Amino acid sequence: MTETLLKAVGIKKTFLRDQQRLQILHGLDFEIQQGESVAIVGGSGTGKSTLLQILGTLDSPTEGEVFFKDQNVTHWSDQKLAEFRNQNLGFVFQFHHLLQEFTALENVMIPCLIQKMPNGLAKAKASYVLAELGLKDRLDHFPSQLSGGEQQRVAIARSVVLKPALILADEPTGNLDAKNTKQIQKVFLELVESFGASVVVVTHDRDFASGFNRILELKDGLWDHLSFA
Amino acid sequence: MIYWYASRTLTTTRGLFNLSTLLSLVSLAIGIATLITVMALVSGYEKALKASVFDVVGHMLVTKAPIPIYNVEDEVKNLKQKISIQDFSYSPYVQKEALVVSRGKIQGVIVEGLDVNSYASVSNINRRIVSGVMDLAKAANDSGIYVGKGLGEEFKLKLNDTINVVVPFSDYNFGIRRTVQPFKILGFLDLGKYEYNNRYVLTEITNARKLFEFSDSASTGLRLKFNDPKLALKIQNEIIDKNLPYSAQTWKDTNLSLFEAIKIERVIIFFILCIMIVIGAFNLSTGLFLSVYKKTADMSVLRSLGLQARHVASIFIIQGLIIGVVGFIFGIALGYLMLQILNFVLASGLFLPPEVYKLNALVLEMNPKDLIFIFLAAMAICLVATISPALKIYKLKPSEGLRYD
Repeated sequence: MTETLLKAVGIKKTFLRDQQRLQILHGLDFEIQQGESVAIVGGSGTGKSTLLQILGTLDSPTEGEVFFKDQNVTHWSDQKLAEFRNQNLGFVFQFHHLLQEFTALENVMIPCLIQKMPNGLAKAKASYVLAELGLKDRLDHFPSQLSGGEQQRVAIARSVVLKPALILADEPTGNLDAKNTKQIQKVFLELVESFGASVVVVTHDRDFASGFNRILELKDGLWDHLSFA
Repeated sequence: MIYWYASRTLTTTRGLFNLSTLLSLVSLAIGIATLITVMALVSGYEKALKASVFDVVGHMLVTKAPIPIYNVEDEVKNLKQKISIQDFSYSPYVQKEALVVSRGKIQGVIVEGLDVNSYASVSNINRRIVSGVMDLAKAANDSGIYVGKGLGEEFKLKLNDTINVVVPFSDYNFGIRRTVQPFKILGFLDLGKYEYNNRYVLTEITNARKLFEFSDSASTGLRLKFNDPKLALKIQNEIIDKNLPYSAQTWKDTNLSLFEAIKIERVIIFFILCIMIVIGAFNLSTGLFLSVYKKTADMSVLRSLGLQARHVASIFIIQGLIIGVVGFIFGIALGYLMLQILNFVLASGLFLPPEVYKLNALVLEMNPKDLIFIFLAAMAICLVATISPALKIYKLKPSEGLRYD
């Protein structure tokens, strides 16, 4: 029997823009099981990224609550949330957001070093993950010396180096061509299989979304349609 | 991890922030170098003044004015019984005002007579001779005298010339009378201070006693030298507190207003020139603000990877302090260079007229105590400069830098 890993209840998000309240999310519920992969699709401005950030505790909802393994994380302190993110979540962003001044290896080592892992061990873990993702020869390359697909694979390596329970990816193939998109999709699905991580991917690419266990469509801040692959 | 990120992003060759780092460094270094140079000037001035005073005046003069001291050994024994320090050197001296007359010119001077046997233990006057040979025994036998070089230049005197020293006396029975005694010039002295060089002549104590009509064993007072010049201040206080029958004048008293002025100037100059470091710190702050905007996405990523807001904020504080330390090191190097150039220029004598600055030579020196104060001030200013950018990033939500992707 699968266990609920993350649950969001009644999520609303309102922004204040030009002195006007702009409601992006209108009371969404969301749930993901351990080892499940979910794709959230929808057009631009529908609130996909905002929802993903709320699920990843990078932003707080205006209303509603987020539970991780039945623990309400919505109002945790910054310190507790930081530890939580480091130990349980992995993030992949559309523009990969690698730190430009650091090599591929160093970028992947950072989550380990944040939890004060010895340098040698962090290096070994990061090298292993990068090698697994086919970047064995790119360890000492800076992001600017890597192709778009390689950069995104480094970002994925960084998100999984500590084997988090949940990987949250925001348009991970947004800047990639069809070939690289296929590769990234394969990588995500293999991750779910290899260490049982759950994956939530936000994308506007329905082909990319088709490989995931479940597809949710977001329209104007509400779920529009549910489908199971 | 935080220090690693902070130092790496500062030293990379890419990006705007590094240019602003360089600008911050340069402006801080210039401010610190200026402060170091000016403080070295004050320190050099104070050191030269002290050296001059120690060489000429010694650490302390003890008199029983207006009565002369007749038995030196008894007075020293008596003094040692009443003060807390027993270990000091002493030498009797005679000192009075007189007039020097030569080639139709007259100048008021201080005539000092030193004891040939003991003067070297309390005074470094020997090393102040610039021409001739310091030989007080010869001065005693040949009615010899040593003259400050300023006075020599003014009177166009040469070695072995003869000058007349005139001492006026006020006599109850006969009104004013004078004695005139010729002296042969055995040497010229550079006493460091303009006033000394123009108003000081030196001879052996028996010559001075004869000139001023003192009895054979009489002295104006005793010149004392301690292991540490500061002990003179302590003994002076003891003499005053215990109401001892002596008058004590320390090296500090001889130029009290000047030493006090230097002390106040040192503090004022320090704070005024700290403003230059503050200006440098504004550049630092601006650079860090630019970095906050440029690195917002990086900061959000680091937060998503598990770094706390306070750690992210501390990156900017560490960067500010690194710039402060490096700026201080560059500032010392630049300051050292400026000191070398200034010392070279000052050695020419063109920019230090002795009649204005009261000193004949000045060497600028870095004072370690000043460096510590400058370092602490620079660090404090840099720390304050980092607070605002650090607070800005501290308050940022982790999602801010990822929002409009």
